[in-house]
Amino acid sequence: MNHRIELGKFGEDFACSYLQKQGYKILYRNFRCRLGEIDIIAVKNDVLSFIEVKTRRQSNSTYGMPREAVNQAKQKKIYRCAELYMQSKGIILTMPVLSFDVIEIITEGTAVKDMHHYPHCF
Amino acid sequence: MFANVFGETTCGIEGVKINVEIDVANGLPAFDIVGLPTMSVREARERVKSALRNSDYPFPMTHITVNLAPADLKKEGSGLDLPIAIGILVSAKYIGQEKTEGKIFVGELSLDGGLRKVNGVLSMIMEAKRSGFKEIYIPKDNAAEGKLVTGIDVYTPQCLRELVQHLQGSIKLEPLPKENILRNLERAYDVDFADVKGQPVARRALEIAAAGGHSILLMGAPGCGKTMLARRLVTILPPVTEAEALEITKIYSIVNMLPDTESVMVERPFRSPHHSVSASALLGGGTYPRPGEVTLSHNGVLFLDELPEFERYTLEMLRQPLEDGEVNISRVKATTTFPSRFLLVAAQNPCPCGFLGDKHHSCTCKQKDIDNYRRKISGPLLDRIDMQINLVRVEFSELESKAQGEASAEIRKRVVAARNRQLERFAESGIYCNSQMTRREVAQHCLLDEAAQAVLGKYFTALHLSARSHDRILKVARTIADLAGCDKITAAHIAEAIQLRTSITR
Repeated sequence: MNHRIELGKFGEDFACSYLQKQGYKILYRNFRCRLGEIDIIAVKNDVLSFIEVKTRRQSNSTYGMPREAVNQAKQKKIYRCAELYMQSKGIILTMPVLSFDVIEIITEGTAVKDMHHYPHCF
Repeated sequence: MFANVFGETTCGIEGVKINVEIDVANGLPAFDIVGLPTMSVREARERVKSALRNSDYPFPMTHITVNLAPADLKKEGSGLDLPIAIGILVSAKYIGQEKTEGKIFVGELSLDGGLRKVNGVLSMIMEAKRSGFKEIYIPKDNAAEGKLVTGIDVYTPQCLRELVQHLQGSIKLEPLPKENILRNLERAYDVDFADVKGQPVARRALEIAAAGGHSILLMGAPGCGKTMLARRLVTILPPVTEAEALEITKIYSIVNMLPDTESVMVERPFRSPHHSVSASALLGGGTYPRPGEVTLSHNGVLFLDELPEFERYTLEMLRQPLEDGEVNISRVKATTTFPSRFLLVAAQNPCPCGFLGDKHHSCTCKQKDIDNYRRKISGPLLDRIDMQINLVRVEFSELESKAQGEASAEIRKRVVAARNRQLERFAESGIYCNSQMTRREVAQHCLLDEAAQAVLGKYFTALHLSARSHDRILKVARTIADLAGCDKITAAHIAEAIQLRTSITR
């Protein structure tokens, strides 16, 4: 595995454990389809959350905050993946309450330096 | 985190105070501007972002919403960059909210944080003063306009960083000194009335036109000097008053036509649009109305050479501004009133070949062509032109004579004296010259002695003049009396006015 994928995996694991502590139930990880990928699908209080995790090293901070990388195109991709997911699970007709979240994680060495969760952000 | 700062935009030729509200909330990075921004305001996003970063201030990577109130007014121009940037710094707690109170910010940002010139700053400063603001911050390039308005402190920071430090209190900027705009009014013109040989009637008529601001039509054969005379009219116009200079500067500031060196219009404008001018270029127009030639020649001269060559439709447009001194432009998206008190000078040939009535050439036009040519200018338009005179061809002896005509400077002295009498008379009423008098003012100021009354009565009946002609003759007679230094209008003044108006037979 190369470094980037390893870092992403690390961040997603960290985010999962955070979400579980917050009372979320993880439904799916790395839902892949031909339209793209959703990192984490979780549910809490009947709200279905599609969560994008962005991890970056502190040493790369000159490229901006991780959350800046979730741009319009990426957001659109996640929307369409979410639609496909709900269709495949047959829950789209139940019209669940949805939330699209971003979790950004900044690492320094092997430790997590900073983490932010932005619920309902797009 | 919420912040509230004030900026300015323009609507028509007036400034409008804009309340710039900024909310910096948590969320994915976004920068939304609401409140009817045009494209140039919307693009402020990129300029503000880069300007803040390059001035070493952080740009918050969160959800920023900017609201421009009042929300129903279209916001134009790049002058709102600066209040948006200041607002973001206030909500990021770089500047205390209380530090921006009573202050207005105007300026376009460059990517490195410098401040660039914007249009219409003079109107904005006047509006800021009217709304009770104590301080206004404008780009350095607009400084000349900032010196004109007293009663408000005008600051001209070089760049965003300097302004922020001033607001924080770490450095102190000095307000601009005020300046009397009417300095160095003596201007050398490269033309002079001394160059004009002969044409005594036209000289006299132009002198009256300059003194009272009366419109004038010059008719004559090709080459008799119509254009030459009209171009020299500016050299004998009285100097602008301070109020007039401010009005002109306001207009030229909005359309970004201020001369680079001066930044203030201390001369009366002279506009001579080509006869292919379109109706909306002449009157003003556009989706969001912009001033046209009649407004650009406000307090100055509008010269229409070859009058019958203009589109008839376009010429008829001149009726409202000629009568009211202002022009209403109504479009679906905005309605605006622009000032347009101009001195109309029109020139034309008597017929298509140009020689009708000439002593030595015979006219080769058919009567039908002459009629068509003349018909292009409608009766109602002609009725609004105070003086209509015939120019005769200059004789060889006159042309070759060494005798110089009277110089502009001499004529101007008389014009200024006459204009001063008028300014004194109209001190209370907000008008500047005889041609701007309303019906009531005509009745009040144009007092005739008995002989004059008799002359007017006789010719009015004989020539079947209109009611409007009546008032216009009185106004011209008033100016002639002013040039002579008389308080009352005598028979000679009235007779000259009537002759100048009716010497062209139709």
